Amino acid sequence: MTEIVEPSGAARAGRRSGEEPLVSVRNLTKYFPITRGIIFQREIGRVHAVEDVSFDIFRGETLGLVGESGSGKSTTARLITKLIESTSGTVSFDGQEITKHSRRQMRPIRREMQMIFQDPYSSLNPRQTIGQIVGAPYVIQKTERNVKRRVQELMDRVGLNPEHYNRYSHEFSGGQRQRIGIARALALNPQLIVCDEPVSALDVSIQAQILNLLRSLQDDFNLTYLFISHDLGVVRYVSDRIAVMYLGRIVEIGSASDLYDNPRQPYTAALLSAVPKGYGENGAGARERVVLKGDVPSPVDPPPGCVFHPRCPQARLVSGREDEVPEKCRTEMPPLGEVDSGRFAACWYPVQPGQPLDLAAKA
Amino acid sequence: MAPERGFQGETLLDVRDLKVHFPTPDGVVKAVDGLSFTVHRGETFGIVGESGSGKSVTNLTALGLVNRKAAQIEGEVLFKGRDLLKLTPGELRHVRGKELAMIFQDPFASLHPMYRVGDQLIEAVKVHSNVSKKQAEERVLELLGAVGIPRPRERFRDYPHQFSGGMRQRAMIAMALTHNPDILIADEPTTALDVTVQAQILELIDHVKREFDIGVILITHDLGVIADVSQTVMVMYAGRAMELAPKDELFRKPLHPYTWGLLDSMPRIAQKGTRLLPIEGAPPSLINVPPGCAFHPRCPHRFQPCDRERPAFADRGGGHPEACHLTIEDKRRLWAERDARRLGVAV
Amino acid sequence: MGRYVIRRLLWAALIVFVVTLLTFVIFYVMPPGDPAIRFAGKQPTEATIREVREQLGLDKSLPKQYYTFVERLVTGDAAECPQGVEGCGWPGLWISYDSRTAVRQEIIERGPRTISLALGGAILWLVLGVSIGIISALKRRSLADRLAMGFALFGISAPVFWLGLLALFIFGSEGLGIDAFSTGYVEFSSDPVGWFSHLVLPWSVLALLYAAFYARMTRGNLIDTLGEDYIRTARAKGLPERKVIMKHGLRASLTPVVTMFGMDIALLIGGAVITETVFNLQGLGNFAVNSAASADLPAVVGVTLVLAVAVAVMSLVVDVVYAYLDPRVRYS
Repeated sequence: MTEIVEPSGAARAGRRSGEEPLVSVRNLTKYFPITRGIIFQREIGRVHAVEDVSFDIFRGETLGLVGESGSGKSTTARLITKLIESTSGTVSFDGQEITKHSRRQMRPIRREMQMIFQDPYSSLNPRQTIGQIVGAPYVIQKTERNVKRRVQELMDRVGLNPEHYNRYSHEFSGGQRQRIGIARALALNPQLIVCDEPVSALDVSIQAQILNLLRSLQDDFNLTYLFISHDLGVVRYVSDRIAVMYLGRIVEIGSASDLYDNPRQPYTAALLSAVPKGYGENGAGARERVVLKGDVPSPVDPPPGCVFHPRCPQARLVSGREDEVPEKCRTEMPPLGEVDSGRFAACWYPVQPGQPLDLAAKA
Repeated sequence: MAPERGFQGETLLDVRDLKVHFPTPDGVVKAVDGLSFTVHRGETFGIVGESGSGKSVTNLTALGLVNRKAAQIEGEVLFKGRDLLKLTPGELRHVRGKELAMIFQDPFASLHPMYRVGDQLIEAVKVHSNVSKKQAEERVLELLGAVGIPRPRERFRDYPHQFSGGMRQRAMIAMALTHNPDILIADEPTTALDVTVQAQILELIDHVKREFDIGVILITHDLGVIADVSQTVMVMYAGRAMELAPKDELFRKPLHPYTWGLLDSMPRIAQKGTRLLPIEGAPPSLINVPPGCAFHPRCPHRFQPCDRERPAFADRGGGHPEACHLTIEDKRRLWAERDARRLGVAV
Repeated sequence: MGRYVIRRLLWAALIVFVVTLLTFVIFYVMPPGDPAIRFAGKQPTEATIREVREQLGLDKSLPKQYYTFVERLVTGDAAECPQGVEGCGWPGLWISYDSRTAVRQEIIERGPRTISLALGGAILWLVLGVSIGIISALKRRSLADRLAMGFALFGISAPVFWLGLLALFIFGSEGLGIDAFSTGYVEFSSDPVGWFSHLVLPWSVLALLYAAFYARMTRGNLIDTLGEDYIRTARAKGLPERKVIMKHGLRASLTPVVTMFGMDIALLIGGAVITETVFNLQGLGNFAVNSAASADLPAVVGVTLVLAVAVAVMSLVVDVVYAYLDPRVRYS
């Protein structure tokens, strides 16, 4: 039933030894063409949404994917779940490569990978009751007979009142809707759940409820999460390992606490330093805020060399001048190299622990 | 009554027992229900709360941007001694954008998409001062430079869609500063922005506060942002103040169970092995605010009078005003217990 | 901008040709009624009919006929104009089977009538509709709003022929007997006052219908726009309310109206058939309906051509105006 794909030899994705990953992504790339013309379309450019991304997700773990808007994290999620087709590269799920799968071939795999979306308001059909929404996968996939009982069990498990089986989604608050979304995702007992900004639209107090729910479901159902968020606090709370994306590339990946305590890629360091600290968070790893200059460049026209070099504080430290960066940074994109065991960073001059990042501060 | 402690400096804004109620066919929406606070020159006054807590309505009311016909407004909003609620719309217009300026959450939507950024700023200059177009333009260029927009002379002629989100928020700040206002109200100014850009904008607001010697009201749902830049913090829930304290005190010795809940709901980036302790349930509908303490249905520490008696907003010996019936000893004990639970020591 | 306009014009030309070709095909496959018989006069002989058919080119195949049509359009038809027919020339649109006059001549005569009707009516309804829309948006749920929207509903539902006849009844010989308002068309060049007074009623009737749509549209757009964040910004600046609405609110809410306005004018040029008929204006709409009814191919193609050109030109005008109003369109 399955074609076994050669396990990729690349150790670049921060894999743990001896384990077979559930999801394995290699050199994944996605360009969106920008066309002009009505009948005769010609390509006048392309958005480099995801560029040469490789990583593994291991069974039972949560891989956090962080980055700012336009970094390609949501596109990556859509590529993995094959909601969109990749330009090149491969995605393997549970040992089989699914990149070239047809819709038909994908059907059994779809039930193994589910998604939870950001907006609990628009991702639920307002004309359906909870029973229909959560029970829909059973009907589509033709597996369960006693749908209602199963749905009510799920509702109970995610913290919804099972008696609300026949209510419509608009009768629920944002947090409850997100619970409905989670119940729907859980319905077919998937192995992987891709959570795309699942708590970004929620109030802080509700956000915490959902995060705790996701954590406890992971233990109960032995779930694997790919957790996407722009909120670094949230990602840290749920993730075992974290990958940081910038302009379509993974610039650093490693275990959550290592990466946060001791970022090695300058963008990661700047990003973490930019997060407003909750009060009294001046423990290990806290450093002076580095305010990055300028905006993220357009993914239509990414900078040559290292994509981060135009804003990189580390490159300026190395050159010792505000207006100059080392030639290597300007000309060649650094590979995602192992800087520590299990830690990979794309940087020619990785940040050293405890090193200041601000040229002015150093001088 | 808001306390006159903690912050030295001229009192700019003194809100006294403000009520903003909107009658609707479904009932009265009590968006703000008895709110008092003061803001001083040189102070960043943070208002934190979840959606529907009334934090934005408060300030829109002060600015006269709430439709007075649609709302029942009571109380006083004293701005440099004048009650803004008693001014006519015409008089208020001369305060708005001149002495009281405001920037909003979504910089993508708050600039008119069809006019050049420069022209929108010139308009802001000319509305309150009788200067030539040339003089107005010079002022705008100066302001754009002051908020860190590179090459203002070129960017001046751009349309908003040619600006990034951070640049638009900078332009909005420039617009707000046009007439050297006394107070800048920033309503979720960084919520729509990326974290690195957020850091830039927060730094700019802080810089502007010092440079222009103004008071800032920062409205946000993000405790991290509050902790970063404000000196005084007011926690709001269901249109009411729950707690008001100097920042250090609020984060170190919070006295209200709702504040505890907020603090324990916020995932932090420097935490190891701590657990989030969420608040159960959801915020109430403002049409149907629970009797007594508005927070009591979600409060793990509620006891007898909570569901009947609305606690006064007062200093119960903890050093700053809060609205909770618990005794100060209970509060100290419960907060200490929470510390332990958060760290997973004992449940 | 220049390149854009040229590209758009080329597109328009292509579309116009496609439209004429389709018109040809439709009429070619349309059921009988030999035009040559009608053209040949009463009780024609076989020979006459054959001659006429030859003369009109009806004996040729469809592609050949279409080719001839295009050729005449490009080079003019003066050279082959049959005797007794006046008004041939460039662009050649050949001869109406019914009236035996050059289609070109008909269009030149009737065009100004329709254009007068359409443009005058358009200006009137734009002013009327937009102002009613603004008032009722600003005074939402007030008596003025209700009256205005009631008027709009009336305008939308009242049929034009009924309104037209009603107007004629009230102002015409049966009612007030104002002669100046009587039906028919007076040349602007010969009598500007007469031109105006004869058009007042048709303009008003037309405007009443369209103003209603425009009022509703303006009201809806303006209400939406006034809820936008940038309107709050304009108020927070301290701008006077009048300026907030007229400068910031209207500009954004009128852009969709521009599109509709352009298309409405273009379509009216193709014929405000009923209005023209009721007020006996003998414009293009009239001509189009009569020609279509009698399968008068050259006349139908001629009017179609005018309409297609009008739509193409107006859509270009709309796009240019739109780009002027909304910079986001200009740059993308």
